[in-house]
Amino acid sequence: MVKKETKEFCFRVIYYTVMITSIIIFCALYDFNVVKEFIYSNF
Amino acid sequence: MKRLKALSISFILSLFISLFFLKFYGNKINKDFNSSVVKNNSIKYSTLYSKYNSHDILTNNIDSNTILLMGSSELSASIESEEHPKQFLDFCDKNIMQIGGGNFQSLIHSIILGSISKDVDLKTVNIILSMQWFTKEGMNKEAFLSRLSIDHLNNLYRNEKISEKLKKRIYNRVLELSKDSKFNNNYVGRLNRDNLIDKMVNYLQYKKYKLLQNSKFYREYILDNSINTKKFPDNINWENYKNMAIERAKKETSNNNFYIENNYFDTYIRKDFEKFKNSSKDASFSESPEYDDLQLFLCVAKELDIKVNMFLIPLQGYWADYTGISHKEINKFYDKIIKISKDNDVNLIDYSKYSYEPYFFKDIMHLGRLGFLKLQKDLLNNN
Repeated sequence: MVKKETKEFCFRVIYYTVMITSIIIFCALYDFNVVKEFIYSNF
Repeated sequence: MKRLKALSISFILSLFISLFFLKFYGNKINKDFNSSVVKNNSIKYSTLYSKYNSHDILTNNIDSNTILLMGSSELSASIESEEHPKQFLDFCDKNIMQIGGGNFQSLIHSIILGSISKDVDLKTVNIILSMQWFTKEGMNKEAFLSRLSIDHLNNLYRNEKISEKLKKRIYNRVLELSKDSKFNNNYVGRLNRDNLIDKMVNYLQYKKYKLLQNSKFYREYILDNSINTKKFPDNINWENYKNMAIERAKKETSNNNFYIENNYFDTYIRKDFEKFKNSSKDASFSESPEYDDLQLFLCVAKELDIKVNMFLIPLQGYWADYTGISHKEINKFYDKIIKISKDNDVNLIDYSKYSYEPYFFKDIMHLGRLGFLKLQKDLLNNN
């Protein structure tokens, strides 16, 4: 039997990995130029 | 503590997964779409801005049979006419890479030339100068921001054949035109600095914008699978083509006395015809920041040891007279361009004598059927 703590730890690692990977890929593939220009010119 | 440990492990895992994914994604789009897939000139004659803005797309499609032609809207305005290079010079062993659309002017071309020359061995560059560029204001700021390619800027930055001094002159001009763009200010500011962190960020940005720009083109371009095996003929009967062009053009310019195409006249002129009379009598072409931008372009070419053929395109004479543009101002422009070409030892191909040639223009400013024939004859003679 896998301990509850280990299970929780693995779940956390997977969860964080998915989140961080998504952010990195989004940053790499999205042109923030568009968003920044919009913010700078409207606010 | 456990959360921190999980976060650290996740961070390292994420880095590996992301790098693997991005590498795989980048390789896939390049492999799916490298130049060997397209065995015709459809990319060379494409008018997509994503093509003009991508260093890789341009460099992968220029070979020893390709004439490099930089210009502006005239390259797309007549694209479907029989005399446009897309139809006229569509051969596997002789073709043109056209770069330019509306609002492409000297500075944008300086950046593109500085970018693509990093990876292509260019001997000659041909640039079409439109007189409309040389207004008092020069390059329009908003238009410049919409045409500036970060991918080309990154490649110019990485081009070691161009001196740092010249790069800084280009960056400063970009900053001058980017006052309203904080993004460009920050971006060019970072290119201007030289510390380790900025260099690292510049490298990541270089990779990022290369990927973005290429994938944008791949999304927009419709793949043409045809194979072009047409060989450039030994002889071209220019007189014959000229006569055919005149016959076609006559039919297209029958509703006005200005040799302007009927559609153009009906859409843009007929309604305000009276208002246009003498509307440009105060137009001036003798002082313009565009002259300095042109000098920048010529400096880039000089440092790269590239021969420049500069095509001087005049105003459409009949329309210029109607709108009241002074001949004195026009002559001042010609004199300035002649002086610049002499000072820089540039091959000037002067079309000012064709200002009043019927059918040389298709409308009030763009080259028409005869203009394109003449342009291609000179391109073939000078490349």
